[in-house]
Amino acid sequence: MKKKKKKRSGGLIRSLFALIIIAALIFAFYNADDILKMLGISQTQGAPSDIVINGETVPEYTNKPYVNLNNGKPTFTESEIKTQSYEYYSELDSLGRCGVTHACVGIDLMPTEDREDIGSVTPSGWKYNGKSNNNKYSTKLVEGGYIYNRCHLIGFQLAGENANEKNLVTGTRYLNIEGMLPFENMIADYVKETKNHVMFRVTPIYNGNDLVPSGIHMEGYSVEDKGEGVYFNVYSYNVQPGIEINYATGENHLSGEEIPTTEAPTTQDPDTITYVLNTNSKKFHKESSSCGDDIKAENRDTYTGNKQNLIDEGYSACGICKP
Amino acid sequence: MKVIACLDDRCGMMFNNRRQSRDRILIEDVIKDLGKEKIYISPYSQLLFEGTDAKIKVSDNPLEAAKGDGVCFIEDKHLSEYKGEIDILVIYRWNRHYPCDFYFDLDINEYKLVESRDFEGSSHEKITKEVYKR
Repeated sequence: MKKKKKKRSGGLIRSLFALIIIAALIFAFYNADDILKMLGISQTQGAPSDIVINGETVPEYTNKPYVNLNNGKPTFTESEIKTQSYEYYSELDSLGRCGVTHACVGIDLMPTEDREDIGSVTPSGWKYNGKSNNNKYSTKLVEGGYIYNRCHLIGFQLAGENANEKNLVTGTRYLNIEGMLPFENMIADYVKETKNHVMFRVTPIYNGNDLVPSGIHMEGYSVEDKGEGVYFNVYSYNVQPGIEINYATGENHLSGEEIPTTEAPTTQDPDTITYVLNTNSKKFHKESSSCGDDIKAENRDTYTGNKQNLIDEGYSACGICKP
Repeated sequence: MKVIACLDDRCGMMFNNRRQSRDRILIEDVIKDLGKEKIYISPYSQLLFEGTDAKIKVSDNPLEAAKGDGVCFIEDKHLSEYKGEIDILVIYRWNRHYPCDFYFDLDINEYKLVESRDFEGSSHEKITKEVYKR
C-alpha cells in the first residue's frame, strides 16, 4: 500500500510539472485576450449576484446574454395593456439614473427620420470623478473596442427617441448588441409586418446606489393577438465577457487585472472632453494646461464635446498644450 | 424531401415557443415555388398560410408526412432525425439578429449551395433565399 501511494505521488508531481510547462508555453505564444477566449472565461467577474425581480432571483450570468424570468411570461396587467401607441420615460432619480420606461409600440410611434447624435447625453456611470469610464479594449474582446454604449431603453427603431437622457443608460457593447437589440428587432419587425401594437416595458436594474445597472429587465406582449406574436419576460446582463466592471462607479478593467488608480491614464470618450477657448484668437487649449490662464475674461469660454466640432467652427488647437 | 426554413443571423428559428419573425412576401415566394404541389406544415404554421391558395397539409409531424418527395415548411421542429431524407434545403435568411432558444440543427455544410438571391420583404429590408442540394 505504502509503495503504491509513493508511486502515485511521483506521478502527481510529474503531472504538475507537465501542466506548468504547458501553461508556460501557452503564455509564451498567446496574448491575454486569446488566453481568455481559449479558457472560455466569458463570465464577467464582478457581475452583481442576488438580483431579485418581482420576487424571483435572477440566475448568475453563465455566458448567455439573457435569461427568462417568470418562465418567459410578461406581467402586464389588463389595465396596463393599451391599443394606442404611447411612450413613457421616468424622471431621473437623485443619482441621475434612469427608471422604468414603457411604451405601446405601434407603427405610428416608429421613427421616420435617421437617428441623430446622442453623444451629448452622459448617463450615470459613464464618467466617474470627471473621467470617462468608456475604456477601449482589444476588439477581440469588445466589438468596436469601447466597452460602453449609450444604450436606449426603448430602442430608437421603436420610438425614435434620440438624445433623451431618461432613455439612455450606460451599458456594455455586449448588453446592447447581444442582450437588447435582438428583442428590439423582433418587436420592430413584428409591428411593421402586422401593424399591431406591442407593449414593451424596459427597466434598468441597479443594486443599491450603483451608477451602472447590473442588467435590464424587458417584457414584451403583442396586444391584438394576445401575445401570440411577441411574448417575453427576460433579464439581460450588463456584462462584457473578459472585463470586470465596478457597477458602483462604472470603472472597469480586464478580468484579473488590478483596478487602475485614479492617476492611471484612461481613454477618455472624445465627446466628453472639456476645452478652454479663446474666442478672440480662435485657439482651443487643454483644460488641465496653463495655456489658457492668461485669456481675458471676455474672450474666455469652455466647450465640452468633440474637438472636431471646434475645428469645424474655425478654431485651431494650441501648438503648446496640443489638446 | 424538400425542407423550407427561416433563420436569423445565428441560425435561430424560435424564441419562447414563438417564431422569431414573419413576412408576407416571403410566404408568397414559398407558394410561388410550390406551383401545384402541396406543402406539409405543423399546426403552428397554419396562420402564415391563411387566406392563400397554397395546398397545405397540416400534420403534427410534417417531416414524417413529407417523407419521399414531399415539401415541408418547418418552424418548430428539429431536423436531424430526418437528415438522411432531406435532399433539398431552402433557407430564407432574415439578415437580422433575434432572440433565440430553438436553433436549426442541420450542418448546412453537408449540402451544396446551388442558388442564392436577395429580395425585399414586406417588413424586412433584405431577405436572402438560399437553395442547397445534397
